[in-house]
Amino acid sequence: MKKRKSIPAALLICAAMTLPVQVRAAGSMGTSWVYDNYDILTAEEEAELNAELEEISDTYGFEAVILTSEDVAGDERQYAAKFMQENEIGYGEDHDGMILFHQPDRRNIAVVFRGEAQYAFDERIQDILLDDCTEYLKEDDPYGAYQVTIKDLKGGLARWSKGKSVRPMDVSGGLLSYTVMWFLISVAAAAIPVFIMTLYQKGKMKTIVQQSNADAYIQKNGVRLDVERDIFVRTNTIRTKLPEPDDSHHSGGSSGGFSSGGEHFSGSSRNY
Amino acid sequence: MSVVNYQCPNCTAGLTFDSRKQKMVCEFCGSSFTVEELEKEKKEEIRESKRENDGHWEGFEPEQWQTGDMAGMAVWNCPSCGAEIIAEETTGATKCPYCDNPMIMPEQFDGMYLPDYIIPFKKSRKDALAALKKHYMNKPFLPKVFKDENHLEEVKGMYVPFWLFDLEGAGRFTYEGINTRIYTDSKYQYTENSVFHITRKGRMKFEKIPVDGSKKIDDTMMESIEPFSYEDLEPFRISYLSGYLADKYDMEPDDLTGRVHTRMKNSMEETFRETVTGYDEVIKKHADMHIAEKGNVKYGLFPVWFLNTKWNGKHYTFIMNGQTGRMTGDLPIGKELVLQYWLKRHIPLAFLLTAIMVALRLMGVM
Repeated sequence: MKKRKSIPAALLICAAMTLPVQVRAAGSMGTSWVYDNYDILTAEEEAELNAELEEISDTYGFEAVILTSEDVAGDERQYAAKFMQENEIGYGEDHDGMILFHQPDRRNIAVVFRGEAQYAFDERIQDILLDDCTEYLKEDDPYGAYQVTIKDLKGGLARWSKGKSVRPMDVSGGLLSYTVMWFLISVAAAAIPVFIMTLYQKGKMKTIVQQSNADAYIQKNGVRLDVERDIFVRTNTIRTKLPEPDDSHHSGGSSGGFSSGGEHFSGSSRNY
Repeated sequence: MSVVNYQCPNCTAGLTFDSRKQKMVCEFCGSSFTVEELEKEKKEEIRESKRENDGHWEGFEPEQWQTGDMAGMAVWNCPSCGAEIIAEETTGATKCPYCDNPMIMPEQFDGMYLPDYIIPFKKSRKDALAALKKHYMNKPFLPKVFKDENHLEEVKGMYVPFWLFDLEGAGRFTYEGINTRIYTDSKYQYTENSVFHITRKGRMKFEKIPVDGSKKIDDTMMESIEPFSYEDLEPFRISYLSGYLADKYDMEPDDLTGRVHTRMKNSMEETFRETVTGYDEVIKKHADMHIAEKGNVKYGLFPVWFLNTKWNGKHYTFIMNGQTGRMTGDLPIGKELVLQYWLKRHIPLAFLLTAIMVALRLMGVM
């Protein structure tokens, strides 16, 4: 009996050893969330970003990393996706995660989502993330760019974690600033029709107007056309070169779903 | 100067022309007579009056005519009450301010001043007042105080002297017409412009272009109540003037041809331009217009109601076409009302637009 009981136990132990060591695949490099290979950040900045990304992982069960690098050959999104796969970045069975990949020399920034997150953070959301990020990158403030991306990501994750879809307002600004912005635009836009209406009402107050012509007094059949001549003179043609077709709606970028290593990802990249 | 008024054959009260009935009506006994009946009777009366007063100017005082104060004025006697009335020398018909009887001065319409045509009044004083009330409606910028305190100082129906010009204009116009075609191939966009030289030449006949022949009446005001319908144009009969004011002209046709030319030229330009069709763009290159033939110029009296009021120290005049009822007149604008109007619309519209954009944002559309 003892012999029979020990065999199943041993089998159980062996089976357990083949299971993934831990749910969060933090990767072979430890618990670092910032891979500043380009060395663009100070130690304090890197530590701060690491702490925030760690918080995201703990709070939302979502792994987000930042990668900086010198120019890489080929598609930056493919490179970023491969990086995620090789370093096992992604939470849970679905490997939900994000990578923000920055190539400062090439002035290119890319964001790639893995797992179910790629459907929640679609191209529209990715555009907003990159819009906010590039605002800072153009000012040569990569730390600010990464911070705003983390902030926007948190906004989207807060909604996604509740099982709701991520909306543009969740990742950018917030409802209050959006409302204020649109109120100012509406004030300007509403002025146009109101101005037209006011002019019309004002016109009704002044009715003494001079007659511009004598159309009412043209004799019946009183118009006689003696000469009616239309002569062709010339044709001139202007030729304009058409602009080159662009794959992405942003300059020097690409976006959409793609595959890497048999797995589906979604990402966008942009030059700034 | 002799003055006539039309008296009722039945009761001798004054007769006035009724615009609704188109007859001379006695307001005292209610009798009505056609214009033809009264004309016949009046001719007899005038002949008798002239025989009696030949060579004698009633009420004429040479000392008064010579003073500067009386320049442009004339004196008449009311045939009903005998009162002496001083009025402008162009006055052809008026009402006695003492007995309210209509007075007509036939000499004002004699010889070269005899009108060819008249359009009798179709709209009454009541119509004029109703039209004024309607003119005030739906005017958010009109101060309520103006409407409420609007005491009309004067409402007068007047026959205004008009010169009616017949003429033929000739014109020659050249244009450039352009047709544009756009097409593309894989590399280029092509814009092809075909250019045409266009000529139009011809004539236009105009009939009775009206210009008012009175210096004291604003021309723009008279034009603003046009057009008059010439279907109601009648040969002049002095009896139509009874009960209304009338002035004879004091501006000659030659003084007014500038305005006629301007209106004729504008009409010719627009009419000939309309004959150029089938082009994406038409550019006028040259226009040459002139009067090819000067037709007749006739003199007519047209009906106009004048309503004068005063508010806040300013005079406001409203005029109504006595035939068609078209009313015009500039109204005062309350600045605070303009501001209120603006704010009542601008602010709610801005909030509405904002609410729409926020709703779209919450739905995830924006």
